[in-house]
Order: sequence, then C-alpha cells, then structure tokens
Amino acid sequence: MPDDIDELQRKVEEAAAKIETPQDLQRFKEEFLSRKRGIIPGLFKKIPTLPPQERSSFGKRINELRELAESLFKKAEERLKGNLWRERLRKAIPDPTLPGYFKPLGSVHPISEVSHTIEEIFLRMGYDIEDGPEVEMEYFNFDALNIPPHHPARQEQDTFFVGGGYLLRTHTSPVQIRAMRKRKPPIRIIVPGRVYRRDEADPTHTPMFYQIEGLVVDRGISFAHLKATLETFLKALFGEETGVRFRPSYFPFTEPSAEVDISCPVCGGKDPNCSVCGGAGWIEILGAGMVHPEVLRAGGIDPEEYSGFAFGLGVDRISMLKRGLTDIRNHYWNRMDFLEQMK
Amino acid sequence: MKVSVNWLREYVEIKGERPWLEELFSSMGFPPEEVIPWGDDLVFDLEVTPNRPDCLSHYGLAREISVFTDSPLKRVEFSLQEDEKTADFPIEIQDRGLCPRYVARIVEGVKVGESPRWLKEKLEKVGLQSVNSVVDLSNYLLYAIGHPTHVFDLDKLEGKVIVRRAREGEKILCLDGEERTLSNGDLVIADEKRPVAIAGVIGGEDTGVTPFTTRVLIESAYFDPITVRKTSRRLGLTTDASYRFERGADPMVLEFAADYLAYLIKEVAGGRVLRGRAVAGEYSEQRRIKTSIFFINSRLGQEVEEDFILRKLRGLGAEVRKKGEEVEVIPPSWRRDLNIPEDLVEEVARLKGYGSIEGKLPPVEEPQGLQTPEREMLWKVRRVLTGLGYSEAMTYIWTSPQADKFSGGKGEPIVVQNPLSKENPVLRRSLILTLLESVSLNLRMGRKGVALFEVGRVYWKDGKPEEEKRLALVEAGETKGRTWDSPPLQASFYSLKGTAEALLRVFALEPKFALEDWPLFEEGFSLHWNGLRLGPIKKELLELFQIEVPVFAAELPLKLIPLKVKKAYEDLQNYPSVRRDVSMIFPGDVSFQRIREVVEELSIPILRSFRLIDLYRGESIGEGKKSLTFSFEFRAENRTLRSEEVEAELERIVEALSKKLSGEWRK
Ligand SMILES: [Zn+2]
Repeated sequence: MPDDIDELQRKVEEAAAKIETPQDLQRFKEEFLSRKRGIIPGLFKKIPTLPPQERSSFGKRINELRELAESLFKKAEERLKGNLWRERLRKAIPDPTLPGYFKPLGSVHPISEVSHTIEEIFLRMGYDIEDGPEVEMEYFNFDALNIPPHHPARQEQDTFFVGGGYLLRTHTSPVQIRAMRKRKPPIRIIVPGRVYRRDEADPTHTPMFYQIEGLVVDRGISFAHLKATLETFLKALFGEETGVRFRPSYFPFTEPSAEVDISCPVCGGKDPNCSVCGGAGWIEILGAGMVHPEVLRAGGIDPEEYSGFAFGLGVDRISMLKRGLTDIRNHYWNRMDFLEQMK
Repeated sequence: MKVSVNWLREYVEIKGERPWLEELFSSMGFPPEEVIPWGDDLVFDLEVTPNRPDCLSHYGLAREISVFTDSPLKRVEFSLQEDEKTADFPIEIQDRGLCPRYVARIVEGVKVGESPRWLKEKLEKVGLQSVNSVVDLSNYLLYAIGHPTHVFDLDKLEGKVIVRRAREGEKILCLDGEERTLSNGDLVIADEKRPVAIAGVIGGEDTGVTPFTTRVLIESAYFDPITVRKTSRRLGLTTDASYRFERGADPMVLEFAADYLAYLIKEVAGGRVLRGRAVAGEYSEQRRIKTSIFFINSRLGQEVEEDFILRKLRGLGAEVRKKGEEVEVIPPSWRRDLNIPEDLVEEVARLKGYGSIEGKLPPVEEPQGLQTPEREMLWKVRRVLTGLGYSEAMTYIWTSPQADKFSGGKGEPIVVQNPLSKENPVLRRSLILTLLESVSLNLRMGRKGVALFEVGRVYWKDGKPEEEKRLALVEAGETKGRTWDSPPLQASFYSLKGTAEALLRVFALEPKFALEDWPLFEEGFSLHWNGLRLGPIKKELLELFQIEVPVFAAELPLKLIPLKVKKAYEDLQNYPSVRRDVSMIFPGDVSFQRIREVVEELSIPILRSFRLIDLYRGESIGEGKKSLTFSFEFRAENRTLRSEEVEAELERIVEALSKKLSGEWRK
C-alpha cells in the first residue's frame, strides 16, 4: 500500500507539472481531488478496510497527499491565471520597442517664458508689476518723456499712428508716467508688454516686440542704486560669472543715461569670430538712467524731493541670446515646430 | 561719424593704440560701429548720440579726448591777411527767431580748381567725394571744427542776401540737381529775386561754386534746430549740414568759422579776403546751472572729490564758480546739452568713468509685488493649456478690413494710418483673426495639425481708443498626433469645447452655454456664455486665409477668469460611490442642454456627477430618435448608500425625463 501511495504521489506531481490549460486544470481536479470520483478522496474510503494499526499512519499519509495535490492545484491555477494575464498583455504589447503613443504637449511662448523669469527676479527684489495701454496717447509716448515734437529722438518715421493723437506705443516707457500719476513713492515697478515700431521684419527686427520697463522712485535714489540693481538682475539672469559694463549714452527721458553691456554669454570674449558678439566680447543688453526731472514732473512727482532710475530691456533679444537663436521673426511666426521646442 | 585718428592728432595727443581708442570712445558714450585700417591711419565710425553735436567734428572730439585723458588741446591757429577793400555786403534777416545771427566773409580773385592731395585724402576718410577746392574746403571745415558753412558764387547773387521764410510753393533747384518745392515752414536764404539755399540743409544749384567762380561769399550762420529738422524731414533730405543744425550748432563759433574758411580758401585757392565781415543779427545767451558738490555726489551715490569735479567741468570749457556750497556753472556755447544740474551729474559720471561708480542696492522698506494675481492666473492658464497640448502663440495685431468684418468686435475698428502692409491696417478686434494667420502659415509649411492659444489684446474705438485683454484658442487638423494602432485624432468642436470647459473648471467656473450666432462662426453652431464664444470658423473667413480644413476656435475676455478662485473643497470620507448607467431614447430634437437642466432641477443631493457616455441614432430605435446613455455617479458623505436609495433616485430621474422630454428607458 505505501508503495502505491508513493507511486500515486509521483503521478500527482507529474500531472500537476503538465497542467497548461484550464481544461488540464479541470482534469487534474477531477482525477485526483473530486469528491465523487477523485483518486485521493477514494483512498479515504479505504481506511475502514485497513487493519486498525495501519489506519492512523495511512490516514496521515493520504492527508499529506491531499494537501500536496491541493497546493499543486492552487499553484497551477495561479500559474494559469498569470499566463492568461500575460497573454492578454502580449496581445496589447506586441513589441515593447514600438514607440510610445505621442502625447502632444504644448509650450509656453518663448517670450512669455523669458518675461516670466525676469519678472520673478524683480518680484524677489520687491518690485510690483504694472501695465498700460498699447494704443497710447502721443503725449505719454513722447512729450511727457521729455521728447517734444521735432526732437531728434522722436522717431516719427518708426511710429504707427492711429489718429486722434494716438499711436501704438513705441516703448513701455509711457507706463512710467502713468504709474507715477497713479502711485506714490516709493515706487518700484516693472512693466512687461508689447511695443510697436514701424520696421520691416528681418532677422533682427520685427514691427512688434516685447519690452520690460523698470522704474524706481524714492528719496535719495542714486546712480549707484541703478548700477547695483541691474548688476544683480543681469547676474541672476545670465549667471554669477557674467560681466556687466555701463557706458554713457543718451535718452531724452534719463539723465545721466547709460547703455548696459554683458560679457558675451556664448564665447566670453574669447572668440574673435563669435557670431553673437562679433568678437567684441560684450553685448548691448539694455538702456537705463536716472529719471529726467522733466519726466518726474510730468508724472506729478517733485524732482526736488524725489529721484529715480528707469531701465528698459528687449525680451526678444534676451530670448535669442539665451537660446542661441539668430532670427527674431521666429517669435511671431508661431510655427508649432518652433514653439514646441520651448519645453 | 567717421573719424581719422591722424586728423585727431592735429589737435590732441593720442596716447594709445586701437584697443585704447575703442575703450576711450566707448567710455565717452560714442561706441565705434566700425574700425577701418587706412594706411598708417585708422578710421573709426563712431555712433555719436544726438545730444552731442559738438562731437561731430575732429576738433570737437579732440576737445572731448583732451578732457578725458588730461592732454592739452592744440588750438586751431592761423593769421588772416585781409585786403584793403571792405566786405560791405547787405544782409537782411527777416525772421530773427529762426536765424538769430548771420555772418559772411567775401573772398575775391579765387581760382577754383582741383583740391590738393591732403584735402582729398581727408575728405575721402570721412566718406566725402571731392568736388572742387572751395566746396571741399567748406566740407573740410565742417569735419574739422564742426560748423556747417555754405559758399555762394557772389556774382550770381542778385542784390542782397535775405534770410526769410519760404513762400508757399516756391521752387528751388538744389545742388544735388533736384528741384524742391518749399513751404512756408521752411527757412531760405534768398537774394532779391529767388531763394538761393534752403537754410541749413542744402544750397541752390544756380549760385553754387563752379570752376568759373572768382568771387565767393562765405555763409556762417546759426539756424533754428527745429526748423531745419522739420524741413529736412519734410523733404526727406538729410545732409551733413542739416544733421548738425538740427542737433544744435555752436552759435558762438560763427565768426571763427567764417574767418578760418576764408583763410583756407586764400591758402588753397588764392584770392583776396575782403576786410571785415558782413553781419546781421545778434546772438547772446546766458545759461547758468546752479548745483552743489553734495547734489552731484548724492545723485551718483558716491563721493567724488570736489577738486576732480571742478577741474573736469572747467576742462569741458565751462566757467565754474564756487560760492559757499553752491557751484555755478556757465556751460560752453558748444555744449547745447548742458542745461540742468542732472546734466552735470552725467558729465562727472562720464569723466570719472561709469565703471568706477560702485553699485549699492537701494533699500527696500516696504516690499511691493507680493501679490500679482493676474500674472499668477495667466501662468495657471498657460500650464493647463500647454498640458492639454496647445502651444502659446504671439501674433501681430494687424489684420485686414475684410477679416475685421467677421470679428464681431465692439465699437469701430482702429486703423493704422501708416501701416507696414497696406492689406493689414486694422487693429484686431478678435484674437482669432490673427491666430488664423498663424494656422494658415503652419498648414502651408506642412504641419498636419495646429493647436494654439494666445493671451493678447483687442482694440477698438468708441470715441476714444479702447482695449481689452483676451484669451483665444484655435485648433485645426490632426491636433492630437497619431498613434500606430488607431486613427489620428482630428481637431473638433467637442475637443475645443472640452478644453474650454476644462480650463474653466480649473477656475471653478461652470459655463451654461447658449446657442447664439456670432460673425466669426458658422450659423447655428456657436455657443456663448458670459462673453466666451466658441464654434467652427466660418468658411468665408477661412477662405480669406486660404485655410481648407475646419478650424475650431474659442475666445473670452480675460476678466471672465477670476483672479481669486473661491472653490469649495471637501474632505472625502471613505464611502464608496455607486455608478449606474441608463440608456434612454428621446425624440431627435431634444437637446442635451434640456436633459441636463431637467436632471439638475431635481437637485438630488447624492448625485455627484452626470455624464453622457454614448450617443446612438439608428433604424433600430426608430426614425428621428436618438438613444443616449448616461452615467450617474451617486455618493453620500456620511454613509454607504443602499441600493434601494440609488434605485429610487434613478427612478425619479427617468420619470422626470420621460414626462418632460418624452424619454423612454431602454432596459
Ligand atoms: Zn562672443
């Protein structure tokens, strides 16, 4: 009898190993475990026919066998379930090296992105964001900024006029006047926005572009304050190692006026044939100066009591510099293939 | 302006080589645009700012260099031999406001010929062509000391010289061979018969110096900058002379300039310089700037020594007096730009070097800018839309009158008087119009699908110009890309509407759209809610942009999106939700909007959401009917729902839909 059981155990193990399909599984169950016809439950019925001294050990032995068969059944059942799952997966994933589904991701416009970064730097320095109209009065765009009619700096030929004393603002500077009239010192604002000049589009000009104006008015504001502010800003934007240079310049609305250069972010001044700086090592990045007393007056601020500084920078140029682009028109063609690089 | 370094050396010592000069010019505020090696010489093309006409000559620039480098300026010295005969010539100024002073010299017995080599070479370096010795000398004088002069053939002048306003429509044949028609705003030099020069701009052909000229009248005058500029702009003619007069000539150099040119003509072309000058008018000015060392230093934010300041201001040619704390400065006549104390601050900063002023951050006592709600809202908009696959565009604001007709914009369109493109003079009254241009370009460039949004402004006129910030979305073509196991997803009305709804959801807005026609969109398909409009773009409008695929677009005023979102957040308890799907057949004309309204009117507290998951039309359900499958989600916050409860509510819904909209439950 024990030999038979050993034999049976072998058979159970072999059969279990061969289970491949749900039918095999069912057959295994019927052959070995089914209450009615299963071999193992059948053995239990034999117990009463055995001599009493053998009953206990035989009973233990077949109990063990039943447990083994049941566990093999369960394992096989799980294995089969797993196979099915994987089979379904295999259908769904015929070749894991096929490309993933294309998830179209849009991009923020390069100008918005750069403007956002710049705004962030000034917000951290305690500046507020101000806004003004794009269809502006000639007075705010020119006269109030100390650019009277027929002033050499009044670039009428570069201005889009819309009639009735209005034009498309040629810079964000008119918002200086509007902000001064609206707020009381201390004033610390930046003004991001679109501006318009009557330039035919070419790789370095577009009739619409994006500026950020800055204005600070308070008691005792000095040229040294302007310098440190712009140095801090430019190093935050282009990196700590960036060199910053101030040169005298001329704007009717500032006095003293300065042009600000940064060391070439591409070659650092080391490449005499650099396409970005032309070997000069420096790149003009913004215009700035102390607010002209006439401009403070136009803003309703007493220049005897207050002084201020202002600056203006072209966001397009910074976007191009930071991304190594050479054709500014890309900013306004809005080709998806261009925009989608901006992630 | 082109500058020869060797020429500069005639007036001042140049202490360094090319890099030194580049640095020097830059620190003065005149960055070189180009440097041209020229034999043993260097020619710099400097960008001289419009406030510094005094530096538009070699002597003027040398004067600046001498102050910057502490080198003495070599004055222009000559001794003029005059004839016995006096220069009695009548000059009449009719408009003293536009020409306060006019000085003339007369040279007789001149032999006009070819210029000597030194003269030709100098003119060549500054970019001028040689004409004849006398004309060349007048040009030489301009580039040497900066004052524009004009030389007349005296024998061609009829009677006296008159400085007067031009008569409307008066004509003059100019030295460049062109006849120009003058207007009353122009100032002319005339004789008794006709205008002989446009003052400060260009001379007349008839009275110009030719090889046959023997008697010349040298004009050295001061003309009103604004008048010269207006005339030059109106005629579209900028000359070396007008360029300087419109920026402001030195009114005190007139005699010197006339004398020096007379001297040069006598030296080069021979002849006799008549005794004395013919003069009309007077010029005097008393500019005084009162400031203090304290003021200058506090504006600079740095202590610059008093000695330095006073010495350098004197070096510039200013008279400087210090009385107690006050510093009184009389600027030199050639510095038209020095008028207020701030101008002196710049001079000190320039001479000290902008680089030597140490930066110091201004104190920030009350930080501003802590709240920038619009900026934050916009950034959220960008995040949502880019996440949904739309890219941000920035389009030009000009469009055509034809496209504007579709804008549905407020008021009247604003039209640019001098547009760059004649086709597009109108400022957009809808962002969609200019976005269509970008859609069109993308499609033409081979792009299969376009999904763009823009944050920008629209403009209109309502008496005065108005503008409004808006957000617009467009999609066309295969917007969502294409996978290898399913057909490409096409731009669609419902995709766009879904995007708009998702965006609004972020700001806790639930739009209740109404069907309402709008000029941009095909009739019968456009929706409106609180200024948000969306729909398929009209075919006629697409044709204007040569777009051949459907485009779906939405536009809304930015102010529709709240800056402060009041959202009711709720803690979720762990009670499961129960979903029930129900299919119902409705008559074909029942809109989804009506169905939703009926369900919402029931206000069932445990109904959390209600979605349409299938829509079917077909013979099997009867002609003109449609079958809709809804998915209802029920959940309570304080208990697990019992199924009887859910079924009861479901019955109510179905009953209401049956009664009010003749729906039949398809079990
Ligand atoms: Zn470089």
